Amino acid sequence: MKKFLLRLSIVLLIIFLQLSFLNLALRADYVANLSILLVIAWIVTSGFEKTFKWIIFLGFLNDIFFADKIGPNILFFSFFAYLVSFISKRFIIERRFSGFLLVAVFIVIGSYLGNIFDIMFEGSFSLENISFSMGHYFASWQRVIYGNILAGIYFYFIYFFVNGVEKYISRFEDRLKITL
Amino acid sequence: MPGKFVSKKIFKVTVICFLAIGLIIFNPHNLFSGLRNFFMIVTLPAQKVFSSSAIKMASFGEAVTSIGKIRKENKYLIEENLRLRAEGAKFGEAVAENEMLRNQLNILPKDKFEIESANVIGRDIYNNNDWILIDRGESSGIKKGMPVIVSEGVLIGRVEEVFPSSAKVIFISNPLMNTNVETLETGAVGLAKGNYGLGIIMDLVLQTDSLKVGDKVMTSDISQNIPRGLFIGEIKEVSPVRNDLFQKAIISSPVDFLKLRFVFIIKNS
Repeated sequence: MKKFLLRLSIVLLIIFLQLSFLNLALRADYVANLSILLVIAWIVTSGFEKTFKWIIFLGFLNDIFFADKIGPNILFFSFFAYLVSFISKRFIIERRFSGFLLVAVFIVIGSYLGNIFDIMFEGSFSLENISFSMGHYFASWQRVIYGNILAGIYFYFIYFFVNGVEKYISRFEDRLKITL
Repeated sequence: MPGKFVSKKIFKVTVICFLAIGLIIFNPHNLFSGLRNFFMIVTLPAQKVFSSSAIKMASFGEAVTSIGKIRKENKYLIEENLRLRAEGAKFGEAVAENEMLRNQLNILPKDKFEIESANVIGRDIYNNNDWILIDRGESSGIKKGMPVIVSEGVLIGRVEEVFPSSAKVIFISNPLMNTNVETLETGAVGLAKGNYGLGIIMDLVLQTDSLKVGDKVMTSDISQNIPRGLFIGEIKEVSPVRNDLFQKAIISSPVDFLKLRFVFIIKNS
């Protein structure tokens, strides 16, 4: 129950921070998607198996609060979680430099994919609109660079927070096993 | 064994992806609207706490960053004031025209329409200036389609989705919103529509109509649910396509959508 409540709190905190804090406090044109960062942090710290159902729930809540339809964020987060898990297993993420580089790549890929999914599933879906919007998104170098630097900074806050919570959960589970 | 593990993972992801695609295609809106309402009601207090903290933080940040600029700006403003006073006499005609436009704009809301004020408590995740969440909903008499303005009578969007105590407002720059408009100077009529966060486009303007940079764009009386005479913005760029039946223009809105804190909903338009 404690484990459930802790993970639920993380999900809700990320959603509220995104919806009602970050997007209002920072008036810049490049605000990072915290949910994508949480997916990366979870996969890196706890692995796919332990966190997949929570990632689906995170996607569902993103659809509830941010999207017109239910499904796009569930689809995106499931796919992205698998991608992160697949790639990180093939590289040594524990090594300081390669780990840092890999996380940076995940953040960049996550941000781009998130935007592509957003454009694909919101509003009127047409190839012309998608190519036009994506062209505009990639054309703005400031948006791409600052957005990803900002996302990197947020990621390390989220990572240390999630890592702390997950370690606490593991310790709690170990204690329970010993008591039993 | 690893092979088995990977296939199990792929199987899980594939099942979830198919389910999600099914939900997107069939889009059972009614199935989830109750759930969406429930989440919106339950989380409204938390959203209000977070949004008020965000606004305080943003105001504090603005105050801190502006201290250094004030002295520099003050010097500049004194010089600018002298220059403008000298130039003021030249613009008597423009002032009169401006006064006339102001009067036309002031015909608008306050005394004529029933207006509900609302705080902004949430914003679009991708910051494409597409939508905001406000703290007024069904309980305050808000309905889908109601126009949303800022205090100066500038149209910024319309209510797209209503929850019991909150509502989602899409901006005029959202592709879902189309508004009939006309220019104040020449009476050229067209359709203002969003373009994926890239701004507002005035489309479907006949080649015979005249469009100039700087023309003021207002809502026309054939806009559904949106009253006539709400200011939208000024024409920033005209792009006539000679071989096309219609011409297009880019409208620049006077509103900074990222800085919106309060909005007004016209309830009896």
